[in-house]
Amino acid sequence: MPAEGHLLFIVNVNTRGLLVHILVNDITVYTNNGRQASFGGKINPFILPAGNIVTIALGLPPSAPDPPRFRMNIQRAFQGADPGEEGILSRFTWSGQSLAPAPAEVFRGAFDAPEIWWRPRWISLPPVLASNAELERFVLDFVHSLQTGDIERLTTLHMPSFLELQDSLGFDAEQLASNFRERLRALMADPTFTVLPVDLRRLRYTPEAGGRMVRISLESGDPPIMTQRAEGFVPFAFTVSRVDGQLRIIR
Amino acid sequence: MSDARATHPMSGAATDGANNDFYAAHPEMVTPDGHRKPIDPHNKKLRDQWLLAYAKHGGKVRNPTPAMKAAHVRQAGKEAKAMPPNAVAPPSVMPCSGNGSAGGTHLKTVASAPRQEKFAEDCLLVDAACACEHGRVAGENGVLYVVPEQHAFGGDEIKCISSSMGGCHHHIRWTVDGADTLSVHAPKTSFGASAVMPSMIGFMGLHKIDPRVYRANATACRGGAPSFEIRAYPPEKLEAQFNFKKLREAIKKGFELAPIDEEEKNKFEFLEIQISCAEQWKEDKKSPRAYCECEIAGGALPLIKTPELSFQIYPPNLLPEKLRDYIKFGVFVSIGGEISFSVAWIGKYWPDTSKWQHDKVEAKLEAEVELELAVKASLLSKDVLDFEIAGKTSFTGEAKAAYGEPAVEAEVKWGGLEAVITIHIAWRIFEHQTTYPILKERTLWKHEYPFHGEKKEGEESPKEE
Repeated sequence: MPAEGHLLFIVNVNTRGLLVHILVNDITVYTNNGRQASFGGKINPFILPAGNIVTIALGLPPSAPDPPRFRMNIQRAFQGADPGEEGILSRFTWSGQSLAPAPAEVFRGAFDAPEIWWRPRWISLPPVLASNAELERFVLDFVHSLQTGDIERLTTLHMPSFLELQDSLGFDAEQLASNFRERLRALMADPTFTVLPVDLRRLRYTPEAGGRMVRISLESGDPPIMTQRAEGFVPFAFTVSRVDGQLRIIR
Repeated sequence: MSDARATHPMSGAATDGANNDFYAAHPEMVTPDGHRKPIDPHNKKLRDQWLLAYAKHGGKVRNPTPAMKAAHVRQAGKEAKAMPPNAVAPPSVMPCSGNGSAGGTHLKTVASAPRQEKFAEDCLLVDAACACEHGRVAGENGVLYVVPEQHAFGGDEIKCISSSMGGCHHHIRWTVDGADTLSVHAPKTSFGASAVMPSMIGFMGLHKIDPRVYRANATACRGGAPSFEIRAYPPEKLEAQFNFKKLREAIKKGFELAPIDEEEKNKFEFLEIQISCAEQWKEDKKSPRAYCECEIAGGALPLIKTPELSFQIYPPNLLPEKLRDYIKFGVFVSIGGEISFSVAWIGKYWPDTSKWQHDKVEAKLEAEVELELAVKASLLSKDVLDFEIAGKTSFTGEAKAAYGEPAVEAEVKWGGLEAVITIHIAWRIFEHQTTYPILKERTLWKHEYPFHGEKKEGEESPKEE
């Protein structure tokens, strides 16, 4: 890793009034169901040295309150400094051409990142090959752990994602796990904390990364598990992979 | 007999007979020195008695048809409506200057001479009229509004014409008083009706200026005719310009609330709002009326120019404290859009009704400036994996032109700005679509801006051109 800030790959989105689904290397990095938003997200864990593909699907809902708009770029930068135009690897601006109500691909771009020194773990994983029943059991296992306060189980389920962040963003996986436990303890200590019921019939399982991942969400694209406390909702969203034969959270 | 009129030419013998009978029946209308007081033509009862006597002595009398009566009633109604509440109604009959009849000044006789037989008959005034130099005549209410073309050369020439019957015609006398005095023994005369030089009365108050008033009356030995009032208004066109500084300053001040650094705000360019106003009195060519025409137009498009840039949110404490470590300085606002303001107000002020007639009444204040939050927190904060922020506010404005007195009501305000934040940090606990208030909605300025009227404290004065 260079002495300056960590090398970052960031997807920046500015959107309003459109259904948006952005994937990098067939992994969902951003979705939006029409709300106005400015978004910036690190995509280091999903980047390969060469042949990275970004795809954008847009849909236009029948009634949009404001004039819709969309623009996206993928930026290469070092942590803490904005390189501006020089760092743009790929960009797309929707120019207002007609869109169907359901999201459909409007852009496919490619970029390389030859200088990355990490090798994503997910690229070496086997296909998930999980039945819906197995995925449902995973969700119920997660919910049960939240309800019973099984912090260690939840940490174990998340560990592969911490390792990906360690590799690609320079975090210490053990430190992330420690912080995760601490946050879960604080959350569960809140007397108003509750886990909202999960309707398994509304879950959607979407294969990603060539089948190496399965994104679990509601049909709407929202997080599948929602907890609540007085301050507001705390959702849990995840994408699972098969690691050492077990379903684990990869991101 | 109620609406009967004597047919012209009138019979002298029948007139004498009618006079004798009438004054015999009304000794109270004969002065001790034998002068007979003229009959008030508006006194229907006395007039009918005289006409009855006139007919008895062979004078020809005609009755108007129902259609003529209806037309007369309509005309009378129109005149009554057209009369301003404070209209000056001159006496219906003025004392005859030639025969020293009752009600007038009793002149002491210093000499007497035998009158020639042919002039022994009194002059009977039957009609009179006043017209301006453009040929417009006074209305049924006796008022004529004039706008002289210029102040010099005596103003608008008012021609006074009378018609009489019998007598010598030398006892017809035109008297003008009011702004000028004139007394002429002649069946017709003329005088100049000039207007006062206008000065600014408050903001564009030309329509409130008082006219110079002249009253003209024709009198004779007997009979009567309407008296007239001539109201002269100044011909000048007064022009002024308003800057609408208060509105501009209100909008400028409003942008001080934008959550960006002062230095960045200084890059905004606020343009001047120029509104031109003009007022001028004009004669209505088709009637004896006059009006003050007022035209107000102008504005600024755009009123503000903003650089199309994103600014770091400022001050940072506008951001939620619990997330400040993650957000650092990674929230920005972008600003875009424009504000325009325009006024178009055209109207006529009619002094006889004290009302405005509106030809065009428009005012527009269109503000489409939006402040939108943007984020670079992922780039600037190590722990943040992804960050979504949504929030926008608008600078809105509304203006409407007032009916009645020319005025514009305007209101400008900022909508509230709330940041809806979803933040995802490395150890997976994140803020989910949580709303944080950044700015409160507030009305910045609401004001009615009259173009006329007295200058109020804090308001700019118009700059005369």
